[in-house]
Amino acid sequence: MKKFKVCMLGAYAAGKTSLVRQYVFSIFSGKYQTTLGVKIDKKTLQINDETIDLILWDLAGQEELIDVRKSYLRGSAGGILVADGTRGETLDVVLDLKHKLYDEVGEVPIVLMVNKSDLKNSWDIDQEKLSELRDSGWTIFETSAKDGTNVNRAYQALTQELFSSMDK
Amino acid sequence: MNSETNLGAVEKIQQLALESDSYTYLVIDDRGILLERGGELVSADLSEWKIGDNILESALFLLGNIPMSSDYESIICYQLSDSCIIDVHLFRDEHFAIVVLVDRSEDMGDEARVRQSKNEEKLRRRYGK
Repeated sequence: MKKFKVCMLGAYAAGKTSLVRQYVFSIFSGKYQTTLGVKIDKKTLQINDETIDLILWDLAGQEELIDVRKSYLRGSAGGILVADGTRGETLDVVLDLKHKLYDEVGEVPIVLMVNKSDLKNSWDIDQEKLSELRDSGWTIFETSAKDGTNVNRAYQALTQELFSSMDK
Repeated sequence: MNSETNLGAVEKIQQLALESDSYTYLVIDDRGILLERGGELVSADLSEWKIGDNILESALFLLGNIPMSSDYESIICYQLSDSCIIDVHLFRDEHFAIVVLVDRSEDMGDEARVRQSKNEEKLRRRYGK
């Protein structure tokens, strides 16, 4: 069975842990709980008739992790970057984290989740910047860990990219 | 253990053992087969990992780290479960790796509360509530 280590990266309270819980356990809690260090969960899925395990490393928000991040990133096959649609500044955090990931493991496949689409009326994320990222080849999903919108699709898309990158 | 490479490792392991009375060590080969173990964690039951088993299936934190590519690696503050936080220290020897898990659950309780309230305060300020 193939196994891929995937890191969840983003600012604090962007919804990384909630996205993992929604994807792996189909549950959501509205109560914010800070992640300390790292949590790891596994999701088994089928892609192209193959069974694979995604090992999801849910890392504490960027602000808490400056010193130890490298050892968390090591061995990652890909990354999920998470921005909070209601806090535009979290997109800048994501861009910084992408560089850190690439510095450590090279240009692995990534997917950007712009989370909290259930609160779209309160979004202040720079749509122009998102369009630019899309135009430059980023795979971007507007997700909601609360109602599950696009969560499976985003993980599936990353897994597909991980598969494709293996063939190159 | 390879005496040349691991004098430092032995000292580090001794130091880790002295710093906490709740730790466990595992000796595994490059495939993840558990060869030896000792000690125990107060906050977690790891009895499912038995000598001769391949523990890579359930020790998810080892993925990407075994086989080791450097002499020493650490994963600080890994939430093994809701009630257990550990530091993972990995030491490489010629034919196997020594994994030392140090229980940090007790020390991290305060840290968790401080970070939680700090982040909640930042969110309150951000949203003007």
